[in-house]
This record gives sequence, structure tokens and C-alpha cells, in this order.
Amino acid sequence: MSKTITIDPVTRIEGHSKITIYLNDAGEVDDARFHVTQFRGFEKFTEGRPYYEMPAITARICGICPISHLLASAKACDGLLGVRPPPNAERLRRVLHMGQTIQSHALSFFHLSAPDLLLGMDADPARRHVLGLAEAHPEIAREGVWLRMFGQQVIERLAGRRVHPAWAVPGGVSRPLDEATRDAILADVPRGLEIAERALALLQGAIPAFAAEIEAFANFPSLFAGLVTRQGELELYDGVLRFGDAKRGIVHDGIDGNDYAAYMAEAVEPWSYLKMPYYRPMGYPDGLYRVGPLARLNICERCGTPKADEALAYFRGLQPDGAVLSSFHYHLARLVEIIYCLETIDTLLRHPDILSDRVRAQAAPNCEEGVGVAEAPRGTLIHHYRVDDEGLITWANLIIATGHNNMAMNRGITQAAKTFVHGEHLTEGALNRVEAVIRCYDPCLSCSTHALGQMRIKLQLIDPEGTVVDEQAR
Amino acid sequence: MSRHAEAGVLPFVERTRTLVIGWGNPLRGDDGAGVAVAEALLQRPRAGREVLAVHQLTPELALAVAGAERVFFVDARVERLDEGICSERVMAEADGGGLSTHAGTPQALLHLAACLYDAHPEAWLFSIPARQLDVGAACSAGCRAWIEQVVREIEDRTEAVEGNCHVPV
Repeated sequence: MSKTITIDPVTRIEGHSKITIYLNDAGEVDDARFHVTQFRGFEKFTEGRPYYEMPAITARICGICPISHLLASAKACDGLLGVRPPPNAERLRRVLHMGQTIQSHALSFFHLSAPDLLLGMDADPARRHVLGLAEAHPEIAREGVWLRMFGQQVIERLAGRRVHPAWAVPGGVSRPLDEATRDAILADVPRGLEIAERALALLQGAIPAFAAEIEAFANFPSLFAGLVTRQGELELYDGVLRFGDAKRGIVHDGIDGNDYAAYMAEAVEPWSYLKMPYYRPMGYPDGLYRVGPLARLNICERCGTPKADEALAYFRGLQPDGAVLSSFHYHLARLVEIIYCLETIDTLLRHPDILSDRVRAQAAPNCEEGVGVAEAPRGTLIHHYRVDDEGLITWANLIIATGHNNMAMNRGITQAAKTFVHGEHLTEGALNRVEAVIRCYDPCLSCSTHALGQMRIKLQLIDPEGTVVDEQAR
Repeated sequence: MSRHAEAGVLPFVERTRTLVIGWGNPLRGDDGAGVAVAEALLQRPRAGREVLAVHQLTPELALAVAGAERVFFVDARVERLDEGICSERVMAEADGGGLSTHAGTPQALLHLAACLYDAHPEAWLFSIPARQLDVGAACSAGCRAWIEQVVREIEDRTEAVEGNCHVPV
């Protein structure tokens, strides 16, 4: 008799979703699906809006990574204007982006995943959260709070507010950096690096205890995609798209962001509001690829900053014969990127022209189409707009970072469920491990509005007649 | 002041005697009441008072809470709509409703400040009845009146403990 297990909602992620696990007649896992149950509709309701409103509107997609949307949108608008922002505007946008990546990665590692990593996958779920972490490991929790605050302070100091600022505008940024702000940020970089390096060492020490999870958490060959510089270095703000394979071979390189649609297509499944992007030349579903920190480190040649490159060498050692395949290692990749971002902030803020007030190019729309691509904390983010003669949006396509990983998340939870869920012997730890696969990707299913009520998790065994034969809830 | 504050663990926080945190979503009518109170108070700066307008209570706010002697939390409320403004003392609670990335409670935030920074500020929660919550709606007239009342109340309470210390705008 086949049965279904439902995890609804998935906890400690951004947004609302559920997981369904299908058991076969023998009681073993047959398949699993990650359903995104919320619908936003930004692509549709922005039609008719003036192009220059798009950065502020689309930043509202998310409360955790609004800067990524702000920047991808501003870059798409740069394309509509047909301008290249002044060099110092690009530097300042990059600093803002690094701050955003640091705060988002710190949130993911210290607040969302550290409870699993430090308290244990089988720990009491009533204490397996940031408050439990604060009680058991106050120093780690304190450092996580500090690091996230640092990233948010970078955003606030540059852009005026930590959530949903509108400082990046078509053509550049709205105001330059002042000396006091630069010095205040620079003064805190060393402490940020100390914290990130300590967290990295902590995770490195914990890895042997998670051998089973590493083996089963979305550990399979796939393509990886993301931006790199033209020299193949890690790149978060601009650059060219690269697709790499499981052997760290380059599948396609040097793709201009404007040409993304030739390489990325989106399939739709009736059981989720989240589309299924795939590598177009290989078709659906064979064109499965992953994006985000794991993918970025797999496809780049080097980070380009000294401490991050040291950490990258350790990352490479996890799988010396090719790409690092287990999605468990997204956690480690995030810490490497935090180090990279801190070093990059330091470099950018020490540039001799960083206080230059030439930070915006002025123009009216010169093109009817614009594409902006950036690496959000969770992966490649694409904003693509078309406008009419009045500069009003006639069509918009947004490919959100989390979406790229949709197929990989689905395959990953199936792999984890087959390993940890065995028929009717449902354990809390097994349930948490299936969820934890999703948390590796740190999906952002959008969180720009208040969540009403307390998130809960529910697991049900349902027989073919629809009768609940077993249930767990927390 | 907590020992962690003395030891310099709170690098971003200017030592504040009074902290006001108003939270909510200004795009959803009365749900933004807490933010509206905070923004009104930001227009009336006082020495020793920090005011934060945020979307949600998130863990990193523990830093600001830990650096304060007293905290006024301000939020909208969808229950007990006929009771008007409620002001209640709130204490740290280990199970104070949790503290996810989406939303936390003052009790959970106070608990986090206590765990991480050994900080125990006095705290009160003002809650404002919220009836108009449609997407894109403006604050209702009734809610605007409550907002003004809470602003006055916080001003009065601040002045009662700190004297008249307005900073010229």
C-alpha cells in the first residue's frame, strides 16, 4: 500500500513551502517533491510601471536579499539607458553587495544551520534554533549576531537603511561615500575576518561527524553555473556566465548576461509555483544545474583574495578529483565567500577614488530591452525588462537564484529521504535531515512581508484512501 | 551596563539609556503602526535615546537591546481590538515565541540579549489595534490617533526618567 509523508511547512528557510515524500508498497521512499506554495506575481504587476521604479519595487521581493534585487534591477535599467555607471559607482555598488552577501550568509550559517551543525540533527527541536544555540554556544551565537550586524551596517551606512534601501539607481548610485563612513566600515573588517575564520575552523572540525549527511545531502553529479570574471575568478556583481561540470570542466564560458536565455530555460511543474530552470542545450530535466556558493567555488579558478584563496584550497581538497558535489558543503562555501567579501570590501574602500562624487550617469532610455545579472547570496539572479517609448515596463522576466536550484533541491530531498526515512519508522531526526537538505541551499522563497503566526512542521503518513495513518507535528 | 558591554562586545551600539523599536509592514495599513511611531520619534531626537524602525524583530537586534537601559517595543495588534492601546511590561522568556528570521517576540529578543550579553534592560510593549491590513492600504484614521497617543506616551515616559533632553533637529 503506497503512502505519502508531508512536511508542511519547511522550517528555518525564507518563505513558505512543503515537502511530500512518496512511499512505495514496500514502505520505502519512492520519490520526494519540494513544493513552493506561495505566489508573488512581481513579473506581472510591474507591467506599466516606469522603468526607474523597478529597483525600489523589486527590492521588495525579499527582506533578506533586497540588495541583490536592487542591484540586478539597477543593472537592467543601466541597460535600458544604454550607459555604464561611473567606475566609482560600480565600486560602491560592489561594497553594498558584499555587505549584503555577508549578512545573508551569516544569517544562513549562524542562525539557520548552526543549530543543526552544533546542537545536532537529532537534538530536541524545541531547542534546535537560534535561542537554543545562544544558550549552548553563546560565543558562536554572539559572533553570528556581530557578523550579520556588520553586513547590515555596511548596507545602512552606504544606503541609509538596512532593509529595502533605494540607493542604487539607474546609472549608478544616488550619493557618494564620505570619509567617516569609509573609515567606520574599514575599522570593523579585521574583526569580521577573525569571526569568519574561526567559524570556518569550527566547521572544518565538525565535518567528520557529518559523514552520513555529506554522503546523502544532494550528493550527485550535476552542472554548476554562475558568474566569473573574464579571468575566471570568483565574481558576485558582474562578469560573464560560466557553466561547469562535475569534473570541474568548463561546459560553456564567457556568456554575456544579455544572452542568458540561449542557455537557461524554465520548465513548469503543476505541483509548485517555483519554476524549474535548466541548461537549455541539454533539455529538461537533464540540464539540471546548481547555483550559489557551492557552484561559484566549483566553477571559479580562484577567489582572487589571499585568505579566501587559502580557504578555497581546503574546499578543493574535499573532492580533489573534481567538483565538490555534496550540497552539505554549501555551508563551507558560504564561509569562504564571507571571507572573500570582507577582503574585497577592504580592497575597494582603500581605492584612491572611492570618495569620488562622480557616481551617476544620467540618460533617458535608449534601448527597449535591458538585462541585469548579479550573483545573489543564493546564486545567479537575472532581471530582464522591456519598455515602451515612454519608458514603461511592457514585460519583465525575473529568474531568482533559488529557482535555479529547484531541480537540485527536489533530487536532493529524494536522495536524503531514501537514506534516512524508512517506512513507518518516522523519526524526528530523519524528518529534520530531509529539511536540512533544503536549508543547505538557503532558499529564499521571499520574505518581504510579515509572516503571520508561528511556523510549524507537520509530517503525515497518508494511505491511498486519504486517511492519515500516522502524524508528527512540532 | 552589562559586563559584555563594558568589555566592548557591543561595537555598533552607542550606549543608550532608552531604546525604541517599532516594527511592522508600512505597506499593509495599520500593520505599520509600530514603524510609524518610530518614524515620528526619529523626528524628535533626544540625547541618549535610540529609535529603530524595522520590519521584524530579528536576532541581531539583541545587540541594540543589550546596549540599552530600557526598551519600548511598539507593534500592531490584531486581537482585542476594543481594548485600545495596551502597554505591558515584558520580560525575557526562553520560550518566548521563538525567534526565527521572519519574526520574533520581544520576550525572545530579551532572552537572547540576556544569554549573549548578560544584559537585562527593563522593557515594555505598546500594542496598537490594527483593523485595516489590506495590501497597499494607508493607516486608518483610528490607528493614526493611536499612533500619536503612543508617541506622546513614550515621550512622557522618556522625559520622566531622563528630563527634557531634546536634541535640536
